[in-house]
Amino acid sequence: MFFLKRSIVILLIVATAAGVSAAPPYYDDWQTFSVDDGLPSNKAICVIATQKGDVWVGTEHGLAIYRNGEWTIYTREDGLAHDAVLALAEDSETGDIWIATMGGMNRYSAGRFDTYDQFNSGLANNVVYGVVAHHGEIWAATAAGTSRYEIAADRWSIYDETNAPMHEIWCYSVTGWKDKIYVAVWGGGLLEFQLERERWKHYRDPDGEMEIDLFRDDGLVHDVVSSVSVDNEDRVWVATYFGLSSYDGRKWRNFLDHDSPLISNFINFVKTHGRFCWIGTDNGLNATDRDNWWTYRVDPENGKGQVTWLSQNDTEEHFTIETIFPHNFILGICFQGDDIWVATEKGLARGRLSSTKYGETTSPGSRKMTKMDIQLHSTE
Amino acid sequence: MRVQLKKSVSALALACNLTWLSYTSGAEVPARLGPSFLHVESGSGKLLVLCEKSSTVARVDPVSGRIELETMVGGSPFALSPHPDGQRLYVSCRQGQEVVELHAETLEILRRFPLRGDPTGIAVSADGDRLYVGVHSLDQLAVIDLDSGDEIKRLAVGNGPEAVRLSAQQGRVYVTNLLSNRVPPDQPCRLEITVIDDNTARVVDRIELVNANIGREIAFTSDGSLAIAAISRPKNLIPMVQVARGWVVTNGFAVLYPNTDSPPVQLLVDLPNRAYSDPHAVVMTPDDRKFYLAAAGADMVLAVDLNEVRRVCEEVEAGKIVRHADHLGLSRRYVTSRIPVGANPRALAVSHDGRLLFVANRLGESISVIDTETDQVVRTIVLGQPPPPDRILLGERFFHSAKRTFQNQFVCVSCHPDGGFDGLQYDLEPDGIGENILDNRNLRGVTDTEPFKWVGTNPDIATQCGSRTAKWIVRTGWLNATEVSALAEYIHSIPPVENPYQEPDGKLTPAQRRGKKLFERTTTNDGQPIPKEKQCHFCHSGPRFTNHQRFDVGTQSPRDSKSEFDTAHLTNIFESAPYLHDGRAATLEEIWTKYNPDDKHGISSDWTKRQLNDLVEYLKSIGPPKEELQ
Repeated sequence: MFFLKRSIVILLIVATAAGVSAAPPYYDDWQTFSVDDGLPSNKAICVIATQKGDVWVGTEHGLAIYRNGEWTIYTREDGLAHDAVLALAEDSETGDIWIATMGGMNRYSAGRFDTYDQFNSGLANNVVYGVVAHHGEIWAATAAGTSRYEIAADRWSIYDETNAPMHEIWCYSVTGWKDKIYVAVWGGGLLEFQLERERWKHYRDPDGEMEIDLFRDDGLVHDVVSSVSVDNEDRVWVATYFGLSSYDGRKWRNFLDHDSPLISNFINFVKTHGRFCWIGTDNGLNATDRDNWWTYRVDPENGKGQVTWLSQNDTEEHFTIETIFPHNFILGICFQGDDIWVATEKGLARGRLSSTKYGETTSPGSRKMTKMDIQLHSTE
Repeated sequence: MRVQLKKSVSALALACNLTWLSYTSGAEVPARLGPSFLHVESGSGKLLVLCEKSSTVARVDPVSGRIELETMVGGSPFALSPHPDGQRLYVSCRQGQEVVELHAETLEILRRFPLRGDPTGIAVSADGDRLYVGVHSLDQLAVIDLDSGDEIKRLAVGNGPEAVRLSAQQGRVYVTNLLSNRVPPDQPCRLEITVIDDNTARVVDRIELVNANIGREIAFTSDGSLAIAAISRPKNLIPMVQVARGWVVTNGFAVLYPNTDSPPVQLLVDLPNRAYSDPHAVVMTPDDRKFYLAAAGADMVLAVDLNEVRRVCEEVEAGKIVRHADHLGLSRRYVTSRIPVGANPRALAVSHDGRLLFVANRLGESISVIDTETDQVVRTIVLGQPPPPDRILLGERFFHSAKRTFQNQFVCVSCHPDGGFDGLQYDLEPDGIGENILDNRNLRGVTDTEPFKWVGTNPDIATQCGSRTAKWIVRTGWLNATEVSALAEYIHSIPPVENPYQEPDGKLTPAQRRGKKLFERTTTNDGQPIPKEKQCHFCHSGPRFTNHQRFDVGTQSPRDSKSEFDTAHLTNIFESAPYLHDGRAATLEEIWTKYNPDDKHGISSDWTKRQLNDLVEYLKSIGPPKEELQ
């Protein structure tokens, strides 16, 4: 009896946690931010939400911080290594923000910019595409390999073709998950570094074909990897310019635009949120838990949002929402409480998590949600 | 160690209220203690004294003047912080690279927390869960979980964290830093005071004090609404020859207003014709009426009227006082007493009732007791048997005393704090303003690295610190030959810091091994022979990594009259940024990435980035010869 009660409690906790972290991905009431609102550029490349509640946005002409409804801009004059900010990462322990730019890397800590570049530090290259702070270490994906900075030891290491399975050294993205670091290598597939054992493992497209995927789900869909993220079920999501892959540790599953609801094979960015993976493409935004799919696009004709839900049993629903992000070329995604922030080629946008009234408030002709409402209630 | 831990101590009251403590057992020469940190125990009101020289912590009864208990801790204990539970004490040991946990009553060592780097200031969080430890050589603050003993994280603080103090009322931890954040040689220095939120253990503010350097102790009013930090204000952007005509280093404090937008105010304690150098310790009286500041180079403690300081700050804010930070006349308003104490007062503490001020005289081996009503020294507690004078002690006193400098303006430690360096560049000689700017050099580990000066014209320390110093720097009669010799002996005795880049087992890491190979290479990456004079280990040879010669490495600037410079030794080169003779290279990497375009400073143009990284890893790991550490 005791065990039964405890099991129920655990189940409830799990269900509640899943509900919190995996709310159905319907977002509405989008607000767009542009240079008119204070951004240094409309080309928003990356966005993160910090634990303090600020939103940091990297643009091609500087860094912008959204705090208490106001934007603060930082450029090279303020100490930024370069105005083109390509990636951002918060150190969850120290609260410092690490800034990857086209001219090196910064640490922003309580108002102070420290610059690390290839001339004054052990950073491999000034073109830093990705950065992550993980377990007291900073990992940077650069155009000439991956740099690792161990903060407590003040020690730099470079991983490139000489000491890692990196036949290409153009590293595009890096992320940390538990005791692993994943590096997306443009043309070199996905690399996994095991921190405990200090060992590399590589994942590549088994067929090596540029244009086709010979055998379905046989491995990484393509070697031109642009981004990687891991969900709370330990699934690794890999964005390539030729499709999407996910790996659960045993099996790969690939998604292409012609055999799945993936809106485009050209994927700039993936970001996991709970059990969902959000996919920023050159043609809109997808979200999926591998079975259900959501698609967000701006209708270039009227600026309204087109939202599609396709369930695993092929139920398909379409919605039109009044507001949406400003452009379908998606470069960055982050989550802040019930909000989603999306960085696009033509501006930044924030969407609010919709309630069950989402379907009711859409334009005439739209259909109400059904299945997801039920799921939401069940998890809550 | 020669310190007798179990000893009977007898107090011998001398005339003038002088109390001598003598060791009655053991025939060995008494060890020097070097009292350098004071803490008044919460219950008993007794003093806990950290003794830098003897690496001990001693409990002293301020009434009897007796040392009641003494415990050996790690090398060079630096600071102490009690746990709020009253049961434990934490002591950082700078040379020992560890923090020790002591039983508050018995002073027994309960736990040791080894750290990478040299721990300095220390503070326990208000909830008692965490320990904050400054790590000087890595510019970090280590955060330790006191339950598990594990290091949780390292926070980036300023350049060389010094004091770490909790302001419980404000929920903030303040970290002073010894040196200015790194700035280009032609820019004023900027000393940082780093503020940490005690709840989140994160840096939340960085207060910059422009034109300030050498940050030492910090103290707070009882409500935490105001803080005072001891600072110096070097004038390195004007020629040093100005010492005869005005001032070069001024001494004072910064007034901070925690958790407000009010900017800090810097004020001096100097007078127009009299300086009070090496401001070191600060302590507030419990009633917030005044604070005391120890001018360690002047062998003085200054009593400062805090209300008058507040009024001055208000006038500064109202624009009624201009150039307040350089105003030599202001101190007459707020410095109410200038109290002579023992040699090199380095630490202060006030009794719980606020009636007594205790002053640790590091080189005087004593504690001065001052009545805070009269600001008079009422007694001097001499710790242990005074060791017989020796030449190193004599030299150390010269090094830390301003008595021989023009108007007592500075001490050797004003530019060489803790025997090291201040990270600044100076125009020392009267050869034209802005000509021959030189980077200040580290004095730790200089034995067998002659000649001295960047142009290598001084064959030994005695020459460097003798007539040259008298002529160009202190502008006084300075020291006689015997005294200069003693000073040189002391400088040679300054211990190097622990090298945090060396592995505990003493072995090189793979990257360091590769770097060593590159350092010793004789051919380029494509197999071409490298001329001897362009091989790293040709100039940087021997146990100190210098062949004592001058070379032109292509760094002469239009303002330099010479092209050849002394080959720098590489002992603990990691700590002496910036680099090159004029400090133009902010990091070791920049020596080659920016300032070796013609391969004159070794052939570096064929290096890969990884090779450069390996070389830097190796260079940073170079410490003093092993026998010196032993």
